[in-house]
Order: sequence, then C-alpha cells, then structure tokens
Amino acid sequence: MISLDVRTGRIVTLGAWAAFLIWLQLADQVPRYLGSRTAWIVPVGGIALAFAAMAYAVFTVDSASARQALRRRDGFGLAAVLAPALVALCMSDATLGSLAAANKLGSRGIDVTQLAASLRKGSGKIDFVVIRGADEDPTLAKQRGIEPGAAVELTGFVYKTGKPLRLARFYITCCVADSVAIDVPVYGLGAYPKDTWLNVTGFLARRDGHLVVTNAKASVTQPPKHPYLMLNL
Amino acid sequence: MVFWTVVLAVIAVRRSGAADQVDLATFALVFTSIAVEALPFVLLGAMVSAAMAVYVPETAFGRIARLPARLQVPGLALCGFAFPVCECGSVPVGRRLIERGVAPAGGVAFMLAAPILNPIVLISTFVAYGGGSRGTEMVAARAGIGLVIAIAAGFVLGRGIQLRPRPEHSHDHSHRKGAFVEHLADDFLLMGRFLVLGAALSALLQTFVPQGLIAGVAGTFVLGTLALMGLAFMLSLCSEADAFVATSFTAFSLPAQLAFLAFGPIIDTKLAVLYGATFGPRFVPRLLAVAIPLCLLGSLAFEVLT
Repeated sequence: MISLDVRTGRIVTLGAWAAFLIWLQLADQVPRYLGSRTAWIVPVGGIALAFAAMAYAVFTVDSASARQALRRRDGFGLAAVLAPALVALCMSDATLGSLAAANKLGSRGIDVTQLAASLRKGSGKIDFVVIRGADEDPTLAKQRGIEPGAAVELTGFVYKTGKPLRLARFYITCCVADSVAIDVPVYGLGAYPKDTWLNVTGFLARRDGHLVVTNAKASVTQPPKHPYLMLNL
Repeated sequence: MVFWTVVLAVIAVRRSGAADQVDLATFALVFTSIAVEALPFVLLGAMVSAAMAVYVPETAFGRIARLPARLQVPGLALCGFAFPVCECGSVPVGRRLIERGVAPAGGVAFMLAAPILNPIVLISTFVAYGGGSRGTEMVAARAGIGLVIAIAAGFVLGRGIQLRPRPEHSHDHSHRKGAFVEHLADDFLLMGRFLVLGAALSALLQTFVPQGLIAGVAGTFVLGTLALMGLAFMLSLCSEADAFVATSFTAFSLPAQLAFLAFGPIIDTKLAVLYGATFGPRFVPRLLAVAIPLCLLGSLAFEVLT
C-alpha cells in the first residue's frame, strides 16, 4: 500500500486542483482552454476548491476514517483526478493546429456569413471570419469596407501548404472542444511547413470569385499567448 | 519523493517537445478544457449531495418516497428548475436522492432534467437565439423535450436500477461538519475520476475522428438531426453555454440544433462514463434507446409546429 493516509491524499488532490485553477487565472492561461463566456468558472472553481481543501483539512483532524491508509486503488483514483492538471503543465505551450482544423467541423457545417454578420458592429479590424463572411455576403462587405485593395494584417498558422497557402485561426465560443478553424487563401508567399505561425500583411483581391490575400509578406512568429479568437455571438 | 518524481517527469516531458506533436497537443488541449470546465460543477453537485446526506432529515425524503412513482417522477423532474448546475453536478445529487430512499425512477428523472431545466441554461438559450419569439420557441422546445425524455427515461430505466457500491469509507456522523466534508470529498473524487476518463475519451474522439463527415448531411432532416446529436455526444459541452455553439451550426436546420441542445445534456461521452460508474454498464444503452427516438420526435414536432 502507498504510505499515505486518505486525509493527506485528499487534501493534496483538492489543494492541487485549487492551485492549478488559480495559476491558470493568474498566469493568463485561461484563454488557452475556455472562451469568455465560461472563463469565470476558473477563478470561482479555484476559490471553491481551495475552501473545500481547507475545510476538509480542518474538520477531519480527528476523523478516524480519514486516517486510514490510502489503498493503491484509491491512490490511482486520486492520480486520475489530477491527470488533466499534469497534462496541462506538461503541454502548456500546446496550441491547436492543422490536424485539429482538418478534423473539426469547420466552415463546411457552419455558415460563416451568419457568424461574421454578428461582427458588423465590430472594431473594424479585418480578421479571418470577417474576410470569409464578406466573401459570401456583399452587404457585409460593403458595411465593413472590405473590398479588393484593402490592406490586411493577419496572424495565424499554416493550415494547408501549396499555392495558395491557407492561413487559419481558431475561433471558440465555450471551450476548445467547440473550436472552429476559419482559413483564408494567401498568395505570394514561399513554402512554410504546416502549423508554422505567421504574421502576414497583404492586400485583398478577388480570384475565381473569392476574396483572397495577395502581394503577401510574412514573418514567422511565435504562437500568440491567446491563440484563439472569440466568437461572441 | 512522489512530488519530486512528478516535477521531474513534467520537466522531462516539456523538454522532449511533446507540445510540438500535433496529435498530442490537440488531445491535451481538448482533454484539459473539458476537465477544467466540468470539475467545478462536479464540486457544486458534490456539495449539494453532501448537504443532503448530512443536513436534510430522513423525514423529508420519507415523505417524498411515500408518494406514488407517477407523482415522484414528474415532480422530481420539475425540481430541475431550481438546480442551477450543468449535467456533471446533477449525477451525484441524483445518486444521493436514490440512496436516501427516493424512487430510482425519480432520481433518474431529476438527474436528467436538471441540466436542461435549470434557469441559467434556459436564459443562455434565450440569449443565444436572439431573444424574442425565436428565443422563446427554442427555450420552450428545449425544456419540453428535456422534460419528456427525463420522465420517460425515469419510468423506463428506474426499474431494476442498482447503484454501484461506493468505495467503502466509514464516516463519523457525530460531527456534522466533518461528515459534510467527508461526503463532499467522497462524491467529488468518485465522480471526478470518471469525469476525467470521459473527458479523455471525448478528447480522443475529437482528435482522431473527422467531424466534417457530418457536414454533408446538414440539409437532410433525419440524418442532419442524428448527426448533430452524435456531435453533441462527442463534444461533451457544458449545457450552460452549449446554446452559443449550437447557433453557429447554421448549415443545419433549427430542429437539428434543437436536438443537439436536448441530447447533449442528457448524454455525452463524459456522462456515459459517469452513468456507467454510477448505475452500471446497462444504463447507457437503455438511456440511448429512450433518448434518441424522443429527441428525433421532438425535433419533428418542432419542425411541424413552428
């Protein structure tokens, strides 16, 4: 048997999760996992778990049952609960890329025009979903001034290589599980491997009836700290 | 010793460049996001369950238990309006209700109805669909289908339910606060390990199964509806925010989106693991046999009536 008692094992598990959630919040790592609608869960959950750990520690001091030795099976159960936190610590630099983009529902199941329409009152910054929406909705294009010749600056990852290269960015609503990759064709760049993050500047043009980025220049960049853009519908 | 072993292991994995492996990165991100989003709600459910175990007198449950099942089941399903957590939190509460003497059918009905009927879910659905008459229709339809499935599943599945035994820990109930925190820890850690397993399964599906396969059936009613129900099962979203995801599936019909919203909180990958751990392996296929046709019928009714 593992030489821990039940009480210690549980305090460690509850406390570790509380610390992990609080760390996610303080290190500004929450946007890596959750959208703005559900981000509140992290600080609230962290504080609640911290109180739960402290309350358990205080009110089980004299508990005989809590002093029982931790059985191997229970130990593995506690380790399983901690697994997501450990995975996150091991992979804190991870971002979604071309594999996820290929497997996600993407714009084939989602009407990008509807999404972009919700951004009609937006900041004016032209991003992936706005370009794709304007591509399919002339009204949106006119409202946002998105027309051939407009200058654009996009930061995204290489989704598909070739000519044109397809640059993409993930949008999320609730959490990473519902993320959608929106991509834009880019002409004028050299060869970059898939999943390379690029900062691309260029101009919009129409080719074969679709809005694309042309005369593009790119520089390789690090994945942004907030790799996903939010779809605030 | 264990702590430093873990620290060294984390450092070694980070240095190995595992985050650069696209399949590992995708799995890790989806896995962690589902767990981070769900575990606080499991804690909330465990708090309610622990409070029921320690602070609610036996007589209260006795009164409910004496009611005939035909009153318990719909009555407990309607109690879901007062329980503002998503589906992960309702499983420990449903289990506790059954342990305290409520009819198993009633416990199951509550457990299935609460994630859909709770006010936060209904409000978020209303807002996601733009309010007004469209928002009201979607809220009413989601609540209606959810209630029907919960009551039907309660009656059908309630017979012969046997709760899987908990790991044996004796609790000293002479001190209420001590008993409360011990029950809290029991429920949270028991549910938590199965939630993590479900999150891992969902992440595996999302990493390796192409979702684009379903895009081709978006325009057909039955296949499109079944496809979105399958997607809801795979994505394992929280019911308090899934309406905003559903609205993005505009290539699919509104009835299909409704099925997504009704089916997901009833059963998804992580819930399937939780249900199996709580009620045994036969529970999940029996629930699917009830939920799938009722979701389809509900969506069809919505299509006809609106």
